[in-house]
Amino acid sequence: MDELLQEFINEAQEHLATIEEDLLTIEEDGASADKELINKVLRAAHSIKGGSGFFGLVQVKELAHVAETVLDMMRSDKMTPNAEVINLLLNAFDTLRTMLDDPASSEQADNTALLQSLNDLASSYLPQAQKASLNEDQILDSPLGPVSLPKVDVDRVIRDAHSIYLVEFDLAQDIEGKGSDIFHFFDSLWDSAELLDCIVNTQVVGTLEHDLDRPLPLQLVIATPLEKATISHLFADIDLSRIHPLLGPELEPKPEPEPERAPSAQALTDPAPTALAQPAAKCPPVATSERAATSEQAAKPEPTADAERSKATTDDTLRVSVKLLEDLMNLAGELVLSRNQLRTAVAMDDRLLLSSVDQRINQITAELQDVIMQTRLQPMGNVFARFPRVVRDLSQTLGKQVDLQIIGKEVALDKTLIEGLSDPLTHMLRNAVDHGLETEPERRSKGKPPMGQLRIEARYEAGQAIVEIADDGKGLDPDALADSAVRKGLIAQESVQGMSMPDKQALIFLPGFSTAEQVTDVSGRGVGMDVVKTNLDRLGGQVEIHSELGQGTTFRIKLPLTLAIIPSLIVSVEQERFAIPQANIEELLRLRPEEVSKRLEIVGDREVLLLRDRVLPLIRFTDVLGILPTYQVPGSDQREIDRRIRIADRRAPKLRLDQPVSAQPAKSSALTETQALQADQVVPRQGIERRRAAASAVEIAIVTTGTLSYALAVGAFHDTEEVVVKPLGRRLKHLHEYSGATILGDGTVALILDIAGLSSKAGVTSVSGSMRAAQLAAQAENRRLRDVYWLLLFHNAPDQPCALPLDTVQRIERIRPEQVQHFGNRRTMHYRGGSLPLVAIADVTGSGSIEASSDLVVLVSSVAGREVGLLGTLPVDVVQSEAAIDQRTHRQPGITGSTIFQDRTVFIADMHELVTAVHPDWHEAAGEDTQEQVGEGVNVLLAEDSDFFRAQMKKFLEESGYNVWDAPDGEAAWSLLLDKLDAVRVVITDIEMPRLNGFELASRIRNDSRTAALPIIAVTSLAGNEDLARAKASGIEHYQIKLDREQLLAQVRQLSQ
Amino acid sequence: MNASNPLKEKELVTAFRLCGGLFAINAQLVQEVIRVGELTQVYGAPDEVVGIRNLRGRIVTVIDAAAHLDIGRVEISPEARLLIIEHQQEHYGFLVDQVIEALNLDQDQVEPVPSSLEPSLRSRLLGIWRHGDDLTAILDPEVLFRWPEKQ
Repeated sequence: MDELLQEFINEAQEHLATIEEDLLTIEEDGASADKELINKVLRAAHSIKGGSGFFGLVQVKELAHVAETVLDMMRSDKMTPNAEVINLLLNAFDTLRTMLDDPASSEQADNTALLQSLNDLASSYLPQAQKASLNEDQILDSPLGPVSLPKVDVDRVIRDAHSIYLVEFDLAQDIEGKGSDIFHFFDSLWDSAELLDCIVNTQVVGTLEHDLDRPLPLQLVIATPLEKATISHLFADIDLSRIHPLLGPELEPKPEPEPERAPSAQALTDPAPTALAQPAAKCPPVATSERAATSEQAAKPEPTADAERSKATTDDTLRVSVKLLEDLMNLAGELVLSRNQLRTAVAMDDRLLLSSVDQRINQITAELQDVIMQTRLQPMGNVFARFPRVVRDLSQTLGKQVDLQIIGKEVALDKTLIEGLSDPLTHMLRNAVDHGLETEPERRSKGKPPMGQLRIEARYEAGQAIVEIADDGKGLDPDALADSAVRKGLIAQESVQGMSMPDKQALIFLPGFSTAEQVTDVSGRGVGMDVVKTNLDRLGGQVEIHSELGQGTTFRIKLPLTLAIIPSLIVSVEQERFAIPQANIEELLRLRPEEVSKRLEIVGDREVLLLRDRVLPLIRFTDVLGILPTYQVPGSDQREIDRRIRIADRRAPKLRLDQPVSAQPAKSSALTETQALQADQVVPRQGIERRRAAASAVEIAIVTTGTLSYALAVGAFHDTEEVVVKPLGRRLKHLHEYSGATILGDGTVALILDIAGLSSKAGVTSVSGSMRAAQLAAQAENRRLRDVYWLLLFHNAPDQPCALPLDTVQRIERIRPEQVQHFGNRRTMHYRGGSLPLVAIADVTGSGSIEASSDLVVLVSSVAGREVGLLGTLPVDVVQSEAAIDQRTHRQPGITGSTIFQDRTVFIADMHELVTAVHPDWHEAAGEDTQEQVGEGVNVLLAEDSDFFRAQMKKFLEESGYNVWDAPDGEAAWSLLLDKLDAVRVVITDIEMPRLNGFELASRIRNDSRTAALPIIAVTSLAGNEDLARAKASGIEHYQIKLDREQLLAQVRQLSQ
Repeated sequence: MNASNPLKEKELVTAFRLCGGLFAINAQLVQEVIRVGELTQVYGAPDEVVGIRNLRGRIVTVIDAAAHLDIGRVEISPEARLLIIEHQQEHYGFLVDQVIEALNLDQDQVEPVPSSLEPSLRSRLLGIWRHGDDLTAILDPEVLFRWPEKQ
């Protein structure tokens, strides 16, 4: 019986899940609603009515019946599906679902108000004369005793000229025996007969705890145009004697309904005494009708122990397709076969056989795992099904128009994921409707279509599942978010500077953050996006935000396809092994002993790792988990606790206290910041070096939770394994640093690390690591902007690496030696329909002629407004260099300086000087060129701390006729400016400079009445838009890239005119 | 002890030694007695959790019985054993110094727990069983695996 019930409930729930969507479509289409759709809903209600009648779930049956009545009126065009009708129906189906979730307590549910509302609704659409028929019963005689039916149903049967039969039926024997199930039975009945009532012999089937062997007699009252013989066929060929006609064209109905007969609708209108005594067992769904609301609130539900238990069993069953089961059976068979082979191989000690069996078992295991995983997969549609309703209700409340688009219902994910996704996705969807999308007037004023677009999409991508929630609303304003976070004290003002736009947008995930100025009852229920994030983290999901102000926001969630088996990296720390989920790992690196002091620094009380342009907080496994570091005692197996390291640990921060500068970091003045940074680097470094004195290499995993990345120092890396996740016991559940445990190949247990939990345990919680780390990252970023430049490497003679600044090279052409044409001491080649002058470094330096080389290339750049080619040889490479440029040692005409790249000296060529040397006439000729002429006599102030860039810019400005005064920092530039107050026409300044940076210089110029009107151009090696806001605030109107000669010159020309 | 005392008239108990004292627990609850085996330490775990171990594919939380009863700590010697006890669908390994034998508990000989005992120990006992010269403390399995809600 339990199995039958379970099966029925599973079926019913599946149908109920789709009904909501159907009802919403029906509402949308109104009077023109698709009859097929109404029929579909009606049919589900009908089947639920039948099944629940059979199981004695009277409350469910009553409700399904009334819903059916209303739907039938809709189908026969007696009623138009409007919002009110659909609200009631949605409510009814919600209630049905709740009751079916917990059939054991459904009988205690009190749906009086809802039933009354539905009845009132139905009767309001009936003509006056028929109104009474809703509440009246008609009695029909049968050989098995009188049968009472609602008059409205009997009337309808008479109208349609159908007959009513009473069929004795035994579900256990007649259905189950034939391999069907109850829901499908009632479903199939629908096509040919209408089920009016379902009478169960309650003395036999009184409770739900009966065993299967007993017959389950059932009397079905059906209305159908069919004849007895056909009906018998419909009911699995039962004996004709079990079909009793009650009413039909030939059988006149009993005329007058007797007045003393109790109206059946009593059950609908008055709560049964038992129902009153025992209030509803489950939470009522959202009440849409006012009456329903009050009565449901009155009956405050509290789940009983029984309810809990039955709920648990409902959740623990899973529907699996027969195909998968068959696959599993086959694989099991294969496995048995392989085991037998294995035994033989072992018994015979046959190496060859053994290895083939090994291969076979390997394959079967993989397949087995795959198929078993598939049984756990559920379609996303299960979660998405609720969303049209959620969005509809919410948008009605908020008075917004929302068009919800759902894509990818068929995408299947692990059952656990599907269940865990429901809440976070709902929350994000509500957020999108509440905060993301604008109201209709707002949208109109912005020129957007009045209907807000909301899209939720699931799809597979690169072994992961992606769920996107996208709206075309306001978008996230990064600055407003940052301001708000600062106001709420969640982050410090200083750290905002170093944050990129995605960083700022990710602030919404901080605990205690809420974007809406006023917390509404829609999304602001004390839980925020931080809870969403935490939930997703727990599922192994990562969230990304893509948002454009005014255009909308897209949240993208990346999820693993399954949770039960995850590919993980096994690491060990002090003899203990741990598993880190592969999805959390960005990269692995190993710091060689000599790198340790260079790459690890202590900032505040935290170690950080410098990795390219990033600064990542470093978490030492041993510290965060409280594992005592040990060392191998020489000459024995013993390991001793390494006390020395602990002592050094304590010493490091202490050293800082002696340094007042570093103890007071950065009051946002560049001067202090720089000093603090230096102090930070210098002071603890002694500590680190001492502490690492005996240390060998450090293995580091860069891990990420999606929004937070950090470095995790571990002992050693081992293999990557697919580990089976097993939950930790109740006593250990509170340890968020572990997400479970797994059993390794050798039978020992390893803990699986929870990367998000570990970081919060270590205190690294802010969005971009610790605030100080973010600050340092900003400075690292600035260092990058200042010192890193791109070079195009080529060779002059084979052993003579040379370079040109990449920005100055327009194209690279591979040529053959014979393409070069000589004319006196000048060279040209045919190029793009013209003649391209060629120069070589040897022309000036006199060393290393390459003209006969077969690896000839021409680097085309523009000098004095003309294209010129520089001859070089392969290999050609583009490299990023941070090394300083030496402008003295190798300085000579044509060579601007040298730098070291990969331990070799690289000469940096200067195209202007080369060209001048070979074609001294060009500059005189350029005199006619207005563009080159323009700078004549105009004084430009140039502040730039990098000697190389300063020299480069100065040179090309001077070549264009400008008179350049240059200064190596802002302070020097300022005094120079005061000196030449009236002469300077344009100021060009770098951003990051010692003493006084570009922003500060600009502010000073703007705030002094003598200089306030001067045009200022800021130059960087890359356009970083994070600084734009600050640049504007300091009074910088123009931004240029340092070596983009043409652009910078054009800008200077425009500003100086 | 009141009428709801779960100890029956004659009940089989598993007796074990813990920090020099004798203790016993309803033998029906003890699914098996195994050697300690290889434990994986769980850093950050409550004090009484010695580690976790694999028991035929299942993760078992190993509890130091002495630490749990607040009477000391179990030294893992060759005699030490784990009593595998299931509680609320979860398996625990109850680490004890030495398992003695299964005894027939005579309900009549069980005396109330003396109030002089430490509350942390007293609250986890059903009573004291006096047999011969020995005193055996009978553990209350219901209370034994009730953990504080918050950590």
